[in-house]
Amino acid sequence: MTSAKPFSMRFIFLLALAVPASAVCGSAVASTTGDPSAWRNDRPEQPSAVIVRNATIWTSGPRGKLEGGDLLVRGGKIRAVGEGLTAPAGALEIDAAGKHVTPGLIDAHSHAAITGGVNEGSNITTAEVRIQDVIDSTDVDIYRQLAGGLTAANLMHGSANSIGGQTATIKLRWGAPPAELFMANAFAGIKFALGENPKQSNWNVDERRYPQTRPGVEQSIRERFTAALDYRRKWNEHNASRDRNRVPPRRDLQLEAILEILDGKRGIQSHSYRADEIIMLMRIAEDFDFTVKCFQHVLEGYKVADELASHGAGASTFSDWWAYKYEVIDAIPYNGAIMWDRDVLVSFNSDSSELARRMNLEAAKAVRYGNVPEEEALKFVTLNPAIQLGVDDRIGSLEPGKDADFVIWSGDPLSTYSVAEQTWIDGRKYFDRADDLARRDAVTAEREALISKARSFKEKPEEEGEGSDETAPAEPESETEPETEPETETDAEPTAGALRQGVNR
Amino acid sequence: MSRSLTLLCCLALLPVSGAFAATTAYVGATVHPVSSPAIESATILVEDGKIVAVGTEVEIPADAVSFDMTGVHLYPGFVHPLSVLGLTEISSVRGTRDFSEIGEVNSDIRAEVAFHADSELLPVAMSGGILTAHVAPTGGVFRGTSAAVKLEGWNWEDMTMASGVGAHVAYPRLRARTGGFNPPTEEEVKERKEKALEALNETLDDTKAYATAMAAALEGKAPKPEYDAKLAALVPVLDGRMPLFLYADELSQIESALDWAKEREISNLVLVTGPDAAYLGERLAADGVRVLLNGVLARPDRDWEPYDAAYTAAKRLHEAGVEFCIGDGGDGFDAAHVRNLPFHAAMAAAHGLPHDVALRSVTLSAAELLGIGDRVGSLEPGKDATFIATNGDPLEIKTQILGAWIEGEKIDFSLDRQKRLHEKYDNRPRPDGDQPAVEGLREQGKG
Amino acid sequence: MKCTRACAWGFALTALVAAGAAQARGPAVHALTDVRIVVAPGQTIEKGTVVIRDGVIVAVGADVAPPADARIWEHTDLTVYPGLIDAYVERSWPRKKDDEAADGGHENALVRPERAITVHGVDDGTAKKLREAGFTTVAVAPEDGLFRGRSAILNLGDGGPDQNLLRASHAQNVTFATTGGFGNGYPGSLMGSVALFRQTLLDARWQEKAWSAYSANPAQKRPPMNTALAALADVAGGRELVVLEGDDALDALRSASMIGEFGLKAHLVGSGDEYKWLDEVAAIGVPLIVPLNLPDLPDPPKEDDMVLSLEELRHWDQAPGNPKALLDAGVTVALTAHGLDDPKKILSNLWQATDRGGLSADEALALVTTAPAGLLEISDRAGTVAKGKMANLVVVEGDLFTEKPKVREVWVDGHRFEIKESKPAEIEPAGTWNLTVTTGDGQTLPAVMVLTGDAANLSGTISDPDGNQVPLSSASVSGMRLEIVFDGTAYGMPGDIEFTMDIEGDSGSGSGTSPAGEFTIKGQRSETPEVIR
Repeated sequence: MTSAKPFSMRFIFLLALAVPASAVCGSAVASTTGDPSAWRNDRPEQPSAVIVRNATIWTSGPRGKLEGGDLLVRGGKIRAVGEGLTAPAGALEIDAAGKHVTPGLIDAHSHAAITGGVNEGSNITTAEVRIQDVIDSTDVDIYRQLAGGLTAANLMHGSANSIGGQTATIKLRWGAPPAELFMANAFAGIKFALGENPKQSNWNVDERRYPQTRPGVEQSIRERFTAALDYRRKWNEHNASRDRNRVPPRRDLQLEAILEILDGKRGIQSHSYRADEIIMLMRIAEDFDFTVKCFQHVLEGYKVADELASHGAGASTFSDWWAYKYEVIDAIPYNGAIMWDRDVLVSFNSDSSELARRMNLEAAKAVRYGNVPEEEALKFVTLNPAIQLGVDDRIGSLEPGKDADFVIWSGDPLSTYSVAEQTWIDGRKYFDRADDLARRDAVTAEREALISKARSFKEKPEEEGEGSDETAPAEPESETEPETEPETETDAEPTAGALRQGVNR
Repeated sequence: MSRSLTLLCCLALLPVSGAFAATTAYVGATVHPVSSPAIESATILVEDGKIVAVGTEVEIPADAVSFDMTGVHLYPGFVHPLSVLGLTEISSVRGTRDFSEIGEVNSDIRAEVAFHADSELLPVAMSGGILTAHVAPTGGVFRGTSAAVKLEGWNWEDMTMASGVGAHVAYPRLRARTGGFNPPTEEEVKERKEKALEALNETLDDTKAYATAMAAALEGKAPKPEYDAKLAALVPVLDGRMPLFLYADELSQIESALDWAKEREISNLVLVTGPDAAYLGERLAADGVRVLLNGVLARPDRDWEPYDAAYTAAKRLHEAGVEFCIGDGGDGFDAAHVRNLPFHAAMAAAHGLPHDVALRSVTLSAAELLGIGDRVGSLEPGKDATFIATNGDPLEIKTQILGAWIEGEKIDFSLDRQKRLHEKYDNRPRPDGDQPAVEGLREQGKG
Repeated sequence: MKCTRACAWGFALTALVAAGAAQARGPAVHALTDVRIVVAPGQTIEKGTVVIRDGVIVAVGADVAPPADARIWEHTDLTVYPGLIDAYVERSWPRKKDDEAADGGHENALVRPERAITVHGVDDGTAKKLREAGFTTVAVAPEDGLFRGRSAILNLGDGGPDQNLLRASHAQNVTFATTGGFGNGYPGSLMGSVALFRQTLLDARWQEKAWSAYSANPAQKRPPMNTALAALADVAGGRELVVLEGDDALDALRSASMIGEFGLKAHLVGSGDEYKWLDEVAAIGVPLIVPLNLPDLPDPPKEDDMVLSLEELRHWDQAPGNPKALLDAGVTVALTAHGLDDPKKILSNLWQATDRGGLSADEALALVTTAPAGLLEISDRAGTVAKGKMANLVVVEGDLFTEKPKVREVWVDGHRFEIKESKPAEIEPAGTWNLTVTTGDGQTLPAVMVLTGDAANLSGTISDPDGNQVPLSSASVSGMRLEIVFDGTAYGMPGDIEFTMDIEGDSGSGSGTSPAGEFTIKGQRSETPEVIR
C-alpha cells in the first residue's frame, strides 16, 4: 500500500527516538501522556508521597537555589525542600542527580484552550463575558505546553475593546473537563485594552465604532466606572428602603463585574503599550481609588517604571517583541530588566500558544538583556506571574504548603539545550518525556489500524448480504502494520466494551 | 558577572567604525571557525577587511593594532537565510511595506533596490549577531529575485553582497490549512492552485521560448525578440545558473512541488519549507535538493504528531543526509526579531541535532546555500572579517554578544535604537535614594 | 411590480378549489392481519392482527379477529413496529419582515423566546422525509437564535397543525448562538452568548419581580413589559422545561453549569460524542436527546492519509458505541435524527449502533419509541403498539434493524402512507432553472430556481416575488423526476408549495400544488455548474 509511505518513514524515525538517552530514573508512576485526545487521558494518579532527590532545585522562594537538594511531596502538596530529607515509607523516589527542578512555569497571558472566539469585540465594553464559560480542555496545546514545563496559565479575553471579558486562571490538568482546569479560588481578573486595538487601528472593519482615539478609550473606561457607581447607588437606595413593593433595580452583569474592580475584588489585566496610556489608566484607577493589578505587554513600561512601582501595578511583558505595530516602535528587550530594577513586579508572558511551550527560555532573555540574576529571571515565569494572578498562596514557588506543581529539567532551565522531562501538577505527573516517546509508536499504529479498517469498510463489495462476515472489523493490512504490536485497546473489536474501556476515566 | 564586565570594558576600548587600522590582530580569543573545531587562545589577523590568518601560531606584523581578547569567544556572524529585513519597518504600517508586490508574475522584481540602509531594525539585528541576510520579495507566484546583504553600509548598492541570489517561486497549496484567522475554503484553495499552476507552467514555457529566441538572435540566426523583463529574469533559472527557491510547506504540497520541479527539469533547486520536509528526507537527499528549513519552533500541524515534531525536523533532515540551513519564517513580524535566529537552531540542537551542525546551520550552511560561502559563514583566511565576540556559546540565550565586525569594521552598537532607549531610561533619575539592584545593569549595551 | 407577482401567486390561484388535507375516504377502520407485531421493545407477537378505529389502536393480538367493518391489510411477511418518535426536530422560523423587537420583543434579535412554532408546525416536505424514515410523532423547535421559542409536539399526518397537534407548548429552546463574529453585533463569541443567556434569564426574573412589586404598588415608575422576557419567566423560575442544544460534549457541560446556576428544568440535546466525557455527562443528571449523526467513513485520497486526524478516525470508530455507552452509564437517553442531512439515515445508523456499537435491537427500538415518548410525556398515547394508543405505526419488510431496512408504509393517526422506494437518480438537476408557472386560470409567472449539489444531496433556492432567493425546504430526485418543496410565506400564502418536474436534458415539465391550488410548471436550465460529482 503506497499510501503508508510517509508513515513507515516516520515510524523508523520514531523508533529511533523510542529509547530516551537521559530519562529520569526511578519514576514508576504512570502518566497518560502522549495521546492527543484529552478525553482519553485519565487523571494521573497522585502518589501519597513523592521525593525528588539530588537535584538542583530552583525554589523561586526564600530558600533560593539548592544544589543536591530534595523535594518532598505529600498528598499533592509540597511538604519540604532541603538536603537529605527523610521520605515516608512507600514514597515514590525519583533520583534526579544532574537534573534541575523548578516550580511549574506560569503564563500570565494566554489565549490557548479557549473555544468560540477570544474576543467579544462587538461592544466597546463587555465586562460581563467570562472566559471561564469557554475553556476548551481538549486543546492539544495544553499538552504541548505541559511538555514545555508550563503548569498554569491566565486565559485572557482579546484586546478588541477597552473593557473585555473576565479572565480565567487555569492549571493545565490535561484530561480533566473544563471546570477542573479552572482555578476558582484565583484572584478574579478582567481584561482591559488600550491603544491601537480598541481603537481599531489595524483592522479592516466596515463600520467604525467609538472609540477611534486614545482619549476616546480613556472616556469609554471612565464612563463605565461612573455607571457602576450609579448602579451601586440605586441598589443601596433600594436596599435601604423599607417599601416591600418597591420595584428593584435590574441586575446588570457588566456593571457588577466593574463594581468588583472598584471594590478591589477583581484585578485589571490591561493590554497596553505606550507610556502615556499606562499612566492614563493608573490615574483613572487612582481617581476611583483602586490599583491596577497588572499591565499586560506594557512595552514602554521601562519609561514609567517608577510610576508603575509607585502605583503598585505589576507588569507582564514580552521578553523581546517589538516593531510589529507603530505603538511598539519603542519596545526594548531591556524592558523587563529596567522595570525589575526599579521594583516593579515583572513577569514574561507568551500571548502565543507556541511561545508558551518555552517560557523558561523567555526568562533567559532577562539575563541576556539586562543581566537580571538567573534566579530572579526564572521568577519572571514562576513566582511573579503567580503574584500578579493572585495565586501565589498556592503556586509559583517550591515552598512547604504550596501545590506540588514542578518540573524536572534535563539541565539548567535557562539553557537552550535543556528539555522538560517531567511536569507535575498537584503531585500528579501530567507529562513524562520518556512515556511520551515510548507511546508514539502506539499512536502511529492506532492511526494505521484505523485507516486500514476504514478502507476495508469502504472497499467492501456492495452486494454482500446479511450474515456474511463483512461486519467484523478488519485487521490492519500486513503491509502497513508497523513492527511493533498495535495497542490492544485500539486493535480490538470496537465493541461497546472496548469503547468503555477507552473512556474509562 | 565581573568577568564579562571586564570583557565589556576591554571591548569598549576597541576602535569603532571609521578608525580601524589596515591590519588588526584579535589576540587570545577562543576562536570558533565553524569550518573546523574551536581553537583556544587563538589569534585572528585581519587585513583590509579580510581574514588573513587564524590560529595559535599567527605572526602579528609589527604595524598591526592588537587587541587582547582573552576570555572572549569569536564566531562568524550569523547568516540569516531568508527575510524581509530592510524591506519593512513596521509591518502593520502599509507605508513601510516594500516586500509584497501584487500580481502573480513578479519575476523581474529585485529585492535589494528597496533595502533601507538606515532601517532601525538593522542595528538591532547586528547587536544580536546577525551580520548578513538574504532578503527576498514575497508577493505572487513568481516573487522576484533576492539579494544577500551585509547589514552595515551606506546604501543598498554598497551593502549588496550578491544580487540575483535566487528566483523565488511559491508553489500553491493543494489543500486548505485548518485553523488560523479566516482560513480559505477547499474551493478557494483549489481555484488558487489551478491559477498558480497555470501561471507557473505558462511562464516557464514562455521563458523557454524567449531563451531559445534570444539564443538564436545572439547567433545571428533570428531577429532579436522584444525585451521582456519578467522572462529575462527567469532565463538563468532554466539553465541552472540561478537557483530556484521553491516554497512549499505541507507534505503533499512539497511532494507535488518536487515532482513539478523534476518535470520542469529545474537543476538548481532550493526548497523553502517547513518541518513536513523531514518526512521526505530520503528523497531530498537522493535528489540533491537543498533545504531552507523554517518553522523549527512551530507547533506540529497535526494534533497527533509528536509535540516536538518541528523541533526534531532538522535532526531528521541531517540524519537523512540533506544539505540544509535554518530560517525563522521570514515574515514581517520576524523581520523585527531576526536576532532570535540562533535560538531556532538551538531548539533543534536540544532535540538531537549535533551542536556543530546546529551552529553551522545558521552560519556556514546558510552562506553556502546562498552562494556566499566564500565570503562569510566561517572564520577562515580569505573570508570577510565578519564576526562576533561573545561571552559564551551564542546558541545559548543567556550568552551576550559583546561586539560585532563586518569586513573588519567594528559595529557601533550605540546606533541600536533599543540600546539608546535602554541607556536613556536606565539613567532616568530614580526616586529618592533608590539604588540599582544590580551593579552593572546599566553597563549592558554600551559595548 | 412587486405586488403583481405576489398577488398572482397568492390570489390568482384562489380561483381553484383548495386541495385540503389528503384524507382517505371511506370508514376509518383498518385491520393489519397476518403480520408480525413488535408491540414494544422486547415484546413481539410473531403473527397477529392490529385493529385501528378512528385513529386509535383498538385491538392487538395473535387471536384478534378483524371487525366486520374493517378494511383488511393482509401483511404476511411484514412487521409492524410502533411509529418512531423524534424528540427534536428543528424548523427554521419562516421569514418575517416585521421587526419583532418593535412588537415589544427583545432588543437582541437572537432572543426570541416568545416565538411558538405551533402556528407553523412541520412543513410537508420535512414531514414526508420524516415519515419515510419511520417517524410518526415529533417535537418541533424553532431553529434560529439563542432563546429560540417554544417547541410543539405533533403527529406527522396531513392537514397542518390543527389536525396533528398533540401539545402546543412543549419547551423553550436554547442554543448558545452567536451573530457570527466581529462586526455582526452582540454576541459575536460563545462567551458573549453565555453572558447574554445569563443576563436575559436575570432580566426575566427581574421583570416578573418588578411587575409583582408594581402591581402591589402602582404609585411608582412602571417597569417596562418586554414580551420576550415575559415569555421566559417560567423558564427562569424553573417551572417550564427548557431544551438546550449543544455542538459537542463540552457544550453539554457548559449547559449543565447554566442549569445548575439557574435551577432550570431541562433536557439536553447532545452531539453524538458524549462517550468522550461520559462520566461528566452522566453526572449532569438530566435527560439527553442524542443525535445519531454517525460520521461518514473517513475517505482519504489514496496517497494522502496525512489529512486524517486521529481524532476524526477515532470518532468514526467509536461514535456508533455512543448510545450504548450512555445507556450503560445510566443516562436517560432518546435518539434523534437531528443533524442528519436525511432523516432516513437514522435507520442505517441504528443498524451501525447495534452492529458496531453494541446496542441490542430492543434498546435501539426503545431509544426511538418509548424513550422519546417518555421525554415528551406522551407515553399514554404513543410509543408502543397497544390498545388505546394512537394508530402510529411503521410497517417494514423483515426487520427494522438491518443495514438497509425497507419501510413499506407508515400509519399516522390511522391514516396509511405508502412509502415508495425512491428510484435511483437518473438525472443531475444542479444548475439554474428558469421556471414558468401556469396557474389554474391560465396566468403565467416566471421564477428562477438554483440547485446545487449532486442528486443524492441536493439543495437550492427559488426566487420570491421580490426577486430574493428563498431556500427550498426539500429538493430530491427519483428516477428522472425532480421533487421540490418550499415555504409559501414569501408568496403571501403560508404553507408548503410543492411540485415535481420530469427532466430530460435541460428542460423539464410537471405540476404542483400550493395552499391556493394546483399549477403546472415548465423549466429550462440556463446554467450548469462546471463540476457535478
